[in-house]
Parts: sequence; C-alpha cells; structure tokens
Amino acid sequence: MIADLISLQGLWGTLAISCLVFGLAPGAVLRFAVLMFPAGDERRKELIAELYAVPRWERPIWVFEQLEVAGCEGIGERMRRRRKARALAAADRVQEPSDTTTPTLLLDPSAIHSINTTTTLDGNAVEIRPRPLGDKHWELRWTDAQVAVLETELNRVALAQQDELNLRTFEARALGGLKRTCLKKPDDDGSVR
Amino acid sequence: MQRKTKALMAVAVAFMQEPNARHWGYELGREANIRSGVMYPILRRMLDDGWLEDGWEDRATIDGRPPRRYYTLTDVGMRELGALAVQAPAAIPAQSRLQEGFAR
Repeated sequence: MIADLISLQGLWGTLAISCLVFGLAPGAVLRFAVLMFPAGDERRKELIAELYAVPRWERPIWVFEQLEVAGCEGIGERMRRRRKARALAAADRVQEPSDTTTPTLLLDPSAIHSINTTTTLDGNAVEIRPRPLGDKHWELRWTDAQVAVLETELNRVALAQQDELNLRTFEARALGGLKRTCLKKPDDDGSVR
Repeated sequence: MQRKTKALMAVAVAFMQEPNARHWGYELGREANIRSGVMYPILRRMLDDGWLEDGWEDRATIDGRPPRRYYTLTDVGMRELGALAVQAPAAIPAQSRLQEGFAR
C-alpha cells in the first residue's frame, strides 16, 4: 500500500506544498509582514515571538490574520510618523532664528521622538501632543525638565515670529501631572503678560 | 476612554479571569474569541490609557524561541476592566465562568 501511495501521481508535489505552507511559509511570511511596522516597533518582535505559541496547524491562518494587523496598524503608524516628521520639519523652517546667539535646537532626540502629533490648528496656533504616559512604545517618559525645555522653546519661537505665529498652545503630560500652557499674544510693546 | 464594544468587553472578561496574572497575546485572543486584527489595537489603546503594562519574558528562562511580550493589569485597568467585565453579556466566552467566580 505504501508503494502505491508513493507511486501516486502528484503526491510529492502535494507533500512539498504542504511542507512549505505548514512548515516554512508561516515564519517567512510573518517576517515579511512585520516589516510593515516601522523600524524599532515592538510589534515586530512581539508577533514573531507569538508565532511559537500558536499550534503548528493553526499557523498559516494565524499568519494571514497578522498580514491584516501589520497592514492596518504598521502602515498607519508609518504614516503617523511621517506626518509628525513633516510637521516638525515645517516647524523648524518657521523657527529661523533672527538672533544667531539663540540656540536653534533645545530638545534632545528622545524628547522629539516622544512627540505624538503636531497639528497646525489654524494660522496662529500649533498644538503639540506628547505620547501619553501609559505608552511604552518608545520606552520614554516626559520629564519635567523636557517639558520645561519645550515650553521655553515654544515661547522663544512665538516671540520671534510674532507677526506670523503669535499664539501657540502647548499641552504636555509630565511626570508631575497634566501641564498646560497657553502662550499669550505679545502686546504692542512686545511684552507677554 | 474606549468605546464599549463587544470585543472590548470580551477582552475585559479574559483579563478579569486572572486579574493579577501575566497575559499573553495569543492566549488572550483565544480566551476572548476575537481576531488578532481586533485584539491588538484594543491592547494598544489600553496601554496608551494606562490600563495595562507590558513586559518581555526573561531570556534566561526560555529556550529555543524568542521572548514573548506579556500584559499585566494596572490598578486603573483592574478598576476599568472589572467594571466592563461585570456589564458584559453572558454570551461572551468565559463570562459565565467569571460570574461563577463572583458568585462563590
């Protein structure tokens, strides 16, 4: 009977495809799928590790589910980060310093990374929201010092660009709790109350 | 604040089965009987809201596979998900077992 089975036409092809689909393919496909998440995203490691917890016969279906997850979340996250980078670049262009003695970049890279969104509300206001405290995505926390630096930076820019950007709203959640600062429009004499 | 969906309630029930334990992605999905495409965004929002904390298995304790990510409930999470789990309809998987646990 075994000899009959072996001589059956198409058996070897079916066996090869089965080995590929149930053996090699899930891991390989998953490793390609997680590349849709941005570099450094914890979900890349998480999904690959989860694969080992899934029973072997369920893996092909589970992996195809992860294609959906990676497609929606991974690409979404990439677009969010791109928007943020563009907004920061645009903010940098606006921040052309009139005084060369003024430092141009006071934020350290970790503080920049921890900014979640930058939204231009209208011609006069820009809202910057840091990632919430519970988000361990970047494994970062806003410190009071970072918040103070960002606040100072926004104050400086608001004053330097008073013709174009005379009001900025800043909202941050620091370790000490929710902090909100609304920068006032400068008076005619340039002072800010 | 998350919208009270059936999927969220199912996840809440799955967490409240063992509120103090470490929970793993795949097992949570099985327990809540929802697809991972729905579950992971929920977990992410819970992390953002401070309901959950996450961590990674210790490499020293595992062999031949990468470390897995686990989720544990914070105090806020226990409060919020506990309230959700109580409201969850009995049709949600594992809810009946949870209610038996409350009754005991």
